[in-house]
Amino acid sequence: MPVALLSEADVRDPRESSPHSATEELLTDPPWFGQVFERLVALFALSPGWDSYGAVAPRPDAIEAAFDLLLQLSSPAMPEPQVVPLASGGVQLEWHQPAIELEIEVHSPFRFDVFYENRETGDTREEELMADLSPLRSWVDQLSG
Amino acid sequence: MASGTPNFERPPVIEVAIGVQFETLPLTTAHLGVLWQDYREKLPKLREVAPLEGVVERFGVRQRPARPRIAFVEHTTNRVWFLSEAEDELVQAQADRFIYNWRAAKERDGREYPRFEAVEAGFLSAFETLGAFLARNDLDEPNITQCEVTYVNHILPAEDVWHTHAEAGRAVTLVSETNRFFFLPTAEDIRASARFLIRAPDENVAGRLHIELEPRYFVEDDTPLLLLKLTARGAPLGKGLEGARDFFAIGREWIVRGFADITSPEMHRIWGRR
Amino acid sequence: MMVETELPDDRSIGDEVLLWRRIPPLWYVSDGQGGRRLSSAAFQNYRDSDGRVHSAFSVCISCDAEEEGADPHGYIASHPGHGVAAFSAGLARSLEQRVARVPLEGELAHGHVIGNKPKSVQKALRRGATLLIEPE
Repeated sequence: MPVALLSEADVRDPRESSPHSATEELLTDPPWFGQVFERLVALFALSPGWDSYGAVAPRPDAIEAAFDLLLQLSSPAMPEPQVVPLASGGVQLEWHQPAIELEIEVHSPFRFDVFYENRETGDTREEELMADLSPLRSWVDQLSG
Repeated sequence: MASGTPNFERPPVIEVAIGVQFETLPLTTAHLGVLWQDYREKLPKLREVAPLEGVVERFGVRQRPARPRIAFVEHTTNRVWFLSEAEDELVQAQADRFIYNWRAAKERDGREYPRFEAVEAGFLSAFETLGAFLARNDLDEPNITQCEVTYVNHILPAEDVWHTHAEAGRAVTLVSETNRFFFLPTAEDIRASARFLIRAPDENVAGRLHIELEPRYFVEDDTPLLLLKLTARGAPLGKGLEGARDFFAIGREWIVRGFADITSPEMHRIWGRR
Repeated sequence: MMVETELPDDRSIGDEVLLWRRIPPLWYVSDGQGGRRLSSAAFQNYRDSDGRVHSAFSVCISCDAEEEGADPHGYIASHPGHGVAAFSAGLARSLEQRVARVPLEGELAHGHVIGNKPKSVQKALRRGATLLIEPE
């Protein structure tokens, strides 16, 4: 664990090894998790021009942010997202269902452009989200049924 | 600071750190080495250390579970420390982060409390130096995405209050006392963490206050102490450095008020609460 | 790729003219019902490697290509696995886009679809496009 405080060297932790992070969750991964993880990792291998035009290579921070976001949103019932690289270097996560369409453009750890459409209710939203991702929570829950 | 904010004559603050994260700059290790020349007179010691991972406060979704990060490690520039001779002042720089630390020169008796205004002035001066370096090298100024203020407290044992880690609850009311069980004996030690949403004056969520309480011993003589760390982190509350400073101000207020809330009146008397 | 985002709409390219766009396999996704479909990502504007956003993406102007004897298969001859989607210049214009010729060396039929492309425009282009050749 990288040290960031001057005073850390003066004191010792009485435990021999750190306890498990309090953030570890007893959560069953969705069945598609490993596959989607591999697809994200595969994006690191794309070179500039991968789209046959002028695409930039997917940015590492966007790939990592997409992975983090999936970890924060996923539940065992969540359907599998499509993982799509963007020519601008970001990553798009998309879900297409008969009634609901959800697309999340991950440009960086700090910015997400989200499109949501519910064909049954007629509700359509296009939003730029930064820190507050609470709208995403309810839209993702709808995907899970 | 807002009126009514708690004030202590002898708070147990040992270190204050102020930092920002920003969109990754094309800063190589070579750049950072050259950057050091601008700090070298005051901070003559240089160290290269592992980079810090980015931390982004998000709301409305659960906390990221502990998993290995999916990071493209080869492309990560290290972090550098520019340290004062007395090792009480520190600038930390990496391609996406900049932190200024100031620690009290004297531990325990007669310690000097690092006042926030002085630490913030140190951060601003150091950050301005970084800005000038970036401009000279035709690099963009940092686009700040997260701001952070950390107060580190070393709570020393106090007569009639606490002597062992099991009694942490008598000093830090975030935890209850640990010697009132029917079956279990007195705990060896206790550690705890809590998170609070920071709300701006307009009631919008501005960030998070993280509180961590951990048992420690001084390396020097094995005296027990309680490490109480409070970190306020969130996005800047406006554009540029002014937006970051606005967050620093609100973060500092929440830290000081939060600290007073979770520590006992008995310790407040020892720390000289005004 | 030169991005000429200041070019005006070229009305000599009729509304009925098809604009071809190469589709890499990564932009051909599951439709959630057992089939596959284009992703809206295929219709986003470009960004330079220095991060600047341009308000255009590249297409092949079919009438110009056909005049040179080219066809959609020729358009992807050097890009195995890619597909070709086509949409009309009129559709692009109905979405407040401009269509302009930007001939390149070796690709005289090259053009740009220029304009701001929020998600609603990307999706409308996606819906209005036909896959002439499916990506593999």
